[in-house]
Amino acid sequence: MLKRVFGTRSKERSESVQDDNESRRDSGAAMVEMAFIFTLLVMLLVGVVTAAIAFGQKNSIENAAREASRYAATLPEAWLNLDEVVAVAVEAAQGDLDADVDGQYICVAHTGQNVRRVVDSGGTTEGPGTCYPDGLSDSRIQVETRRQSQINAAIFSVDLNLNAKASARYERAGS
Amino acid sequence: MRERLRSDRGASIFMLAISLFLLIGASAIAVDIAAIWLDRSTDQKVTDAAAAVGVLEAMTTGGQSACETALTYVAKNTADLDSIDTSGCTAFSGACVEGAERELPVTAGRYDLTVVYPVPEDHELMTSGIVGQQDQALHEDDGEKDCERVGVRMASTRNSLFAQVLGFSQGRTTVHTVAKRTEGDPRPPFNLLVLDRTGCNTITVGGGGGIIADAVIAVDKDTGVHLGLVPGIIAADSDGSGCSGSQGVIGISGAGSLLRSDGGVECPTWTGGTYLVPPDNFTAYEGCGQISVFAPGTPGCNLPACSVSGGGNEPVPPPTPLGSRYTRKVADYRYNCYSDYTNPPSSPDVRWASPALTLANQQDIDPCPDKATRDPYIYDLIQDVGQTGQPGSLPRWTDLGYTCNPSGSITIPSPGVVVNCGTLQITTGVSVTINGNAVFNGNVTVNGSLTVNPPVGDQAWVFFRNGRLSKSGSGRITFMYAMVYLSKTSDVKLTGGSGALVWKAPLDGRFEALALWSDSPSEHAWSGQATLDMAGIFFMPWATASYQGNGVMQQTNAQWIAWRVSVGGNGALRIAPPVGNALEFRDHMTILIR
Repeated sequence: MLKRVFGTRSKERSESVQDDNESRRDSGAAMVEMAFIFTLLVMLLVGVVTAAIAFGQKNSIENAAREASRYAATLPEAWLNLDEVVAVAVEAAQGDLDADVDGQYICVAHTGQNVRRVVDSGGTTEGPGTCYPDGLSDSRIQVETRRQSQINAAIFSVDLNLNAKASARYERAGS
Repeated sequence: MRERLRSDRGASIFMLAISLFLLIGASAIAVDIAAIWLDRSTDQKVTDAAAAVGVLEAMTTGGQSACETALTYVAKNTADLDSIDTSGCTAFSGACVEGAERELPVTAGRYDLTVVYPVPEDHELMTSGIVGQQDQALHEDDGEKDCERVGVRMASTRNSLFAQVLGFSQGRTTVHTVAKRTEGDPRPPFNLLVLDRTGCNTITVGGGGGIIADAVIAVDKDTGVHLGLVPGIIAADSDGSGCSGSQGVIGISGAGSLLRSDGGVECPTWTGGTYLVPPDNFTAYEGCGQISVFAPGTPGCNLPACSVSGGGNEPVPPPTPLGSRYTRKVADYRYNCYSDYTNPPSSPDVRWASPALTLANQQDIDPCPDKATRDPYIYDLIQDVGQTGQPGSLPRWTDLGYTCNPSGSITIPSPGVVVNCGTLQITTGVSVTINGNAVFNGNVTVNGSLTVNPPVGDQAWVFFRNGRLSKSGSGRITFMYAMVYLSKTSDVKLTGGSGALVWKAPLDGRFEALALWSDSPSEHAWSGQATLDMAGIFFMPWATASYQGNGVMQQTNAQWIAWRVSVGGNGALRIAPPVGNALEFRDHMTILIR
């Protein structure tokens, strides 16, 4: 009887210990799993956020190229100032083409005047030429904007060279 | 079993699966939606540029070119398109008809494009592409002409990057732009505008001659303050289609021949010379103005826009594209505001009215928009004076007792005279002064002195029904505050020399600032004078204005608008328009309606 009793108790104790051990094991496994999940989630979250930022930056420099080309296309030539066009691009980019941006590059060209202005980390240069070959021969405005960006997934990252181009026919007389 | 059920084992995996599915799903949708919005932004850039260039071409070249150029700009502004098949653009050939909408759908890569021209007021592209379809113009449409609008629609399809896991295999976005060509702000006045729309050699400089467009002072109309110099502008409206071989719209030939336009700001093409422009002595820089040609071949002096031969100088600055047509309509609107130029009155038979002013005879203008409130001053004058008789009871020359070869000094009092002579010969030593209006039935040859000088504070007009106004080298002609009208059978030939030519437009009244209105297609010839003072607008839309012979013809307040211009024989024609009173041309601009 005692044996039975003790035996039973012993068995119950043994089961209880086993339960504790299993619980402890489960808890450890859950911790490992959570750590693994958390890492994956963080990577995913950071990746999504940085990808969204990169999309936003790409959108900004596209918008900058569009706004600047359109603006320049409508300027009277006598007052066409490429500096002003560059400023429009910088403003339209809302910080994504500021001087402190990695790989900042803004090129504005008036093909009718055969003149282009480039602003990048090396400073500002102006001279003859176009921003990029496009196979056209009319009097037009070219704007090219570039910057560097990065998609970061916590433990690895991908560098991006964002680029946008816009060509617009010079619209005003006397171009 | 119960124990297994009691166990937490696997719960995390389950939660992980659910969480990851939701998170990845949300991320996938977010990334793909972001990609579509990026497409939308980029596509809007593309349609803006395409529609803008399309309407430029539509207004200058035609619908087919508009379509081809718009599609070309779509390809150039789209990173994943090299080219687009434009063969379907023949659908836009032929003249644009108001209300007759034409559309061309084109598929290129992942893009579905539609070009629309003309764009009727009630077309779906005239409404917003944003949800709700409410009218949303980037600029308000300010006109009713369908043929001044070109539309481009662009639908792009993007395969989903991640959202395919949720069953979304593709995303699609559609944007559109309608561009409209319109007139914008006033531009600095043209010093010289030649209207021939197709011809070659419409501006010629030869034999060491020169045409120089001076920089002029800009004045604040309200305060009268001098603002500084605006550049001299020479413009040729010809598209060069009449050119062949080595001929250009601008033709410069012969050693020393010069075509130059000066500006108020130092420029890269500054030739090194400067001069002062009174009254404020602003510094003008030679070669820093503007020379523009509508024909291809610019920038630079290239065929068919420009040619230099025989040792002539390259034009400075190099010609640039004119960009848009500039017609005579500004002059017509100001001085001859007529309701319908395409249905001319049968009488009187004047050049501006018959044949009608159409593209066919290269004098395209629209009916004057202010016709309800303004008169056709030139047409009224032509009707009042007529081909015969004595308008306004003006006395006849011979009735006053004068011969057609008078002697001595003659003064005709106001209101003036009808000179009913086949040829009025004003010989050396003879002086004729008319203090009022003058009608000439025939030639006027001046070796002595002819003066038309209205009473103080008044203005006059001089009407040539027929014949030629000519003067010898020593003759003197003075038109003081008088508008001269030349019929289609009249012209001027003013030889240079020791004489004088003073020709000033009225300071006010219906012909304010108009020195000459000529309906004559004959050459109008000037030469250098010992005394020369020309002020006002010289409007010769059918005639070649010619300046020959030695000497500099410096016009400090004249604006020349002619069919063509020719300078030669070491003569130099300097032109500076009367700022504030010159014909005011407006820049053309494109507005975007989305």
